[in-house]
Amino acid sequence: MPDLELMAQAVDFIEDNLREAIAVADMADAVSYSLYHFCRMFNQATHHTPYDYLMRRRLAESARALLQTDEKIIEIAFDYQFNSPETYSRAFKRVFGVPPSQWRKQGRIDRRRLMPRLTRAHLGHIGKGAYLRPVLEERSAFQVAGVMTLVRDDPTVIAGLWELLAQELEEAVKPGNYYGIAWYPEGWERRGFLYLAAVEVPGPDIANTALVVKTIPALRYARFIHKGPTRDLPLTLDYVYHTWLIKSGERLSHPLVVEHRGPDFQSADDEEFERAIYVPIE
Amino acid sequence: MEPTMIEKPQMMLLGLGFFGDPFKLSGGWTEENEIGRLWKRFMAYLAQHRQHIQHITTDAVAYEVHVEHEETALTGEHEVFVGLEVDKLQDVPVELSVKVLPPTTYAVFTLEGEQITSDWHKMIYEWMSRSGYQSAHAYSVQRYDERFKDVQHIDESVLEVYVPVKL
Repeated sequence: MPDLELMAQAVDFIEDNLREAIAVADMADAVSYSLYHFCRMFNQATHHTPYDYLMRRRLAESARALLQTDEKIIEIAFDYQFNSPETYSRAFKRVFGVPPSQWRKQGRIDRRRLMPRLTRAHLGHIGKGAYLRPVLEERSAFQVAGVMTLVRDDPTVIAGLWELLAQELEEAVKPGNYYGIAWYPEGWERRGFLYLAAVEVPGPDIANTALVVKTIPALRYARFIHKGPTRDLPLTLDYVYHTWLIKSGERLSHPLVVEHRGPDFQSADDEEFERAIYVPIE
Repeated sequence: MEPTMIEKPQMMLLGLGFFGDPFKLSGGWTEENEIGRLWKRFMAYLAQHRQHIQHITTDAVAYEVHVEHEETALTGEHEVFVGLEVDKLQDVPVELSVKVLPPTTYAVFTLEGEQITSDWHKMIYEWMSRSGYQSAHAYSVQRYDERFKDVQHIDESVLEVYVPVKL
């Protein structure tokens, strides 16, 4: 098994040198591994090849620079060690679907597309064997009733939402099948996303007027298991968006994520709590 | 770990190759990587067509060659070739390819048990910087004979690594 601390140091080395002309051999040197062994261990620890990680991180940071600075595209390209604006543009388009100029014009940072720096927490989670190969499954439409809010910068409002749901359901539908549904509408990067804490219901006739009823259409999903508290959910979502999607070649279909908490939604902050994460795919 | 030095004439291998980062595929979900897949493909081919292949010196020894190309240091990508030795390059089936290793001096390292799964590349590199020898060619050869059991019995296995060297 890879030494996670050493692999985290390798990531630190890469992150410190995104704008330098480093090779995979330099990364191996930085942690005193042979090149071959380093590639193998890095892959086990991160599920990325070292070169892939380097290039994706360079592209992500350059994409950020396009939006946050006025630097010329050609300067950003050279800055992140691309040989020419053409090479940069090609690589950029492959990852983000649009060339750098268009990305700059659109002017939005979708965090789900910019690969984040892998932290020790990310590596620890991957190292626990947290991400077994997801199950692909079709689900028929289902209805849920619950409470919804707009989440901007402070994700702790989600915990408050679940408390509110518990209160509203005090006498009503418990025990039930609980879902947290995040919906990312167009422009959510600026305005925030919607989160619904809800329980599955047989139909739209709900006596409690505090609850909203939603129908989740029939979709095809990749189902992941997230083991751990709610606060670690971003680790799993980062993995889904930045590692699994790339490797699997699957594409997201709907801008939503379904978190299936099951009957015991109030234990969601326990280290051992397991929930299924459904990501809609084409 | 001290190597034995041997001289070898040109060697011709018949088998299959792969170029890239061999660990790209596995993603940690399985132990399977491109090298394992390469062996599987080669073994499956042999199982079906062995009787039609001429000039194999012995079936008891198989080779895995790692070749470093110009981009290896930059990207970690390299070539892996697995095959059997032949004494003549004739009637080579189109599905297989050939690797010709030049005559050279090899430092032969005998790896036993857990050494096989350790970072022995580094061990060899360290020996090299100590010994005064240099790499003579940008490849190394793993030689698998009857002393190599399998991955499940690595404890009882022996693997020889041939590194081309010069003074």
